[in-house]
Amino acid sequence: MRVVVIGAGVIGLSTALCIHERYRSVLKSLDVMVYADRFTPLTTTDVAAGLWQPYLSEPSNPQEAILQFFCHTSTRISHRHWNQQTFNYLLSLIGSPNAANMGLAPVSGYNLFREAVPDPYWKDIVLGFRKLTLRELDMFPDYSYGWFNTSLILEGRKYLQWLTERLTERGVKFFLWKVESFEEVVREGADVIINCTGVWAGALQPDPLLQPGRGQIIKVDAPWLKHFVITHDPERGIYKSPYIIPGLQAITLGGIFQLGNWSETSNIPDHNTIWEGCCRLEPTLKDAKIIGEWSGFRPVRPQVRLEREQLRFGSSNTEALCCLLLLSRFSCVRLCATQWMAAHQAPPSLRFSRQEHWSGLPFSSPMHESEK
Amino acid sequence: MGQWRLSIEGMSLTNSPMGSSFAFPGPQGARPATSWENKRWCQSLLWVPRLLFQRQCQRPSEREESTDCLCAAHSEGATQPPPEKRPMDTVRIAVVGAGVMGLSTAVCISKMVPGCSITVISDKFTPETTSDVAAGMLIPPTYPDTPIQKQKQWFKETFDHLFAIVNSAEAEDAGVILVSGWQIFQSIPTEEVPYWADVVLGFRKMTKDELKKFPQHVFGHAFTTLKCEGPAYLPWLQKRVKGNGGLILTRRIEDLWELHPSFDIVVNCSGLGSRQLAGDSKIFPVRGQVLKVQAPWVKHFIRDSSGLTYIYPGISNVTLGGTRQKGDWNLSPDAEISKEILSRCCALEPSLRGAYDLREKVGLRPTRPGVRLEKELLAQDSRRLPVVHHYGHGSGGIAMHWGTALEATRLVNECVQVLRTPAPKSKL
Repeated sequence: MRVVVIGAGVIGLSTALCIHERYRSVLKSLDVMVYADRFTPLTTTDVAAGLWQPYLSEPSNPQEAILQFFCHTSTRISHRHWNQQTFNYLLSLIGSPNAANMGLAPVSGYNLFREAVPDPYWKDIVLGFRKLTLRELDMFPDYSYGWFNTSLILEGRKYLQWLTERLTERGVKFFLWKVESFEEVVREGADVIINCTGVWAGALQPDPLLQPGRGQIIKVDAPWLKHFVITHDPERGIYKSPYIIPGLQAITLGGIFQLGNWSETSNIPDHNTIWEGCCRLEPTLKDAKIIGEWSGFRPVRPQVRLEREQLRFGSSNTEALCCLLLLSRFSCVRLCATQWMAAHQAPPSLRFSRQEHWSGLPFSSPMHESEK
Repeated sequence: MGQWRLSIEGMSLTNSPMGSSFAFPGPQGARPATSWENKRWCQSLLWVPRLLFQRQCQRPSEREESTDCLCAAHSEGATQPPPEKRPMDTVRIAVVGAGVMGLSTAVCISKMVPGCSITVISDKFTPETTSDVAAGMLIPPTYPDTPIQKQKQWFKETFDHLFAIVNSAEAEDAGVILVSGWQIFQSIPTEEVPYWADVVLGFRKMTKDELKKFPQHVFGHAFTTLKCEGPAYLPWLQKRVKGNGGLILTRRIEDLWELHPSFDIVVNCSGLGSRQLAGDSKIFPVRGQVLKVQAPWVKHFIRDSSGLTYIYPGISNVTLGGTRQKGDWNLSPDAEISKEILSRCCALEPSLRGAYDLREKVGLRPTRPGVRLEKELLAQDSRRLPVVHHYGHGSGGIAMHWGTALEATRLVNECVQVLRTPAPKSKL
């Protein structure tokens, strides 16, 4: 049973690990492979600051998720559920000595607004959520309202390195291969394809709903900063307002979001926007040493595409599982891996009855009958 | 051109860094030494025992005080001043000790007491003082002999002073940062909310979810406070002392009388040195050993309420502690203790097993039942020397320093007023 994961960003590698962890012991013939044209440090995940924080409100109608295909599974699984599962999973790893090696650490900080806003739906997912006191707001003269909470950092680069090590230990092989079509992967012998191609998914299968949300970030050395500071400006839109996010070593400064911009090179006007915005927010940044500057494309879509599709090439039948964790306009899911959902989706493909593996999730699938 | 006066007084000889360590602030800021100062014979004079080189730095610009010139008090033995005006009403203040108390008091005095000259005298300077070893977390201890309201006032004044710095562009230069975290208890405390809860930021009790991270603990406080690091803060204070016209002198003082009559008032911030200098048997060391390690992923402080185990992330390292060994004067680190500290801290924060570049440090907390903050008039034969004592903060030095420095400055001001009040017999 060959499972090919296309894409080696956070979604591809965590899905590969999840599948291997869950099914290797029960399916001896399971062979998981990863095909990608970019590996760390060249993936989108490597550019992400890595802070766990969804956007302020849920998608207004999860039912709008595009599931035109056979399976109706994920309509009732909301982003909230995925976010929460991811947070809880990461939080459970915090007490382990390996947390820092994974790129994982708790971090606290501030969300700042110019006027009062309702509490976010994730307030009970993070730790210690509360509103800011007046004295705390004095630190940020341009803002008059805000939140404080403890969340998690999962640094993309470190996490991908860690996932790669775990997968390698398990005998999962990696192939530097720019996949041009699902067919060629099937011809190589794949029984199941997990499509985690992110923002470039349109090259494999046209998806007009998918667009790049270009971001640019500056990484600086400012070890005296221990908190994240994220500002919000509803008029300018999401991610267009300055943010400062400490990583495990360096600090990420950002504030750029350009829908439809495919330019992968960093530019000076965006640099200036970020630098001025962040220095205004945190004057000590003037002493910070700049380590580097990067651009990346948030894979933006109205809904995460997580669904199964059956492909037919010639006489073979292959399941393709689309596992695109995407940033939608309505929900900001910075690094919320849906590996759990992918693994939950996998069982029908791997010919196990749903009853054994879904354990309580409200799925129903027409595939169920054909598996028998 | 500033005004200055040379006097020859009683002092033991030390290799003192005269020329280069002196700045000569004039009305428009620093000016280079004059040719008079540079002449060889001037330098040779400096080697004569019992010599002190003095200079008036601050002119009482607003008020021309025509009280008795204080040079009358020690004109005996004074040499010819340079051909400028005789200094007016300068009160010469010596601050003994260059840890956080000495330097912050010197800064406060230079800002708040007009018409004085300040010289900070110490045998040790940063980075070799006790203040350099301290983590510098603003989580205050409780002094049994001091009223709670007073402690709260000192802590609040210190917090407000450092909070203003942390919100400025100078925060990193001054070594002051904002840090959030948790103080955790193995059993529910009798006092669930400490007196300083509304001084720190965002104080609240930990939630059940937060406590899950600490299975041995049942209760906790979550808050945001400040950390003030000696190795950056002390040089920052020193710059301010010099910028306000103060002088810095490296010298070991064995007896406060050495400062008489060169100085009019002595501020004693000598910490443990007061056992000898002030004959204070109430002060004793509480030895603290810490590890300063690299673990940049640790962004929160964690402190066990006993105060024995703590993890304090700083600007460029994380301080792991600690010990409280009463009466132990040993400044050498103990390897067994280091291992034990690391093990206790790893129990609270397992990721510390990946910490690297571990450095051991030892500091002796200058401990007393209460901070000694009072005036004393030393008397010997006909000699009088007003002293303001400002020492004995134990584990609360950084947390209380500015509040107690302000109070010490008020006491200094009282001494200055007394000195400036004309003695009745001089009036006819």
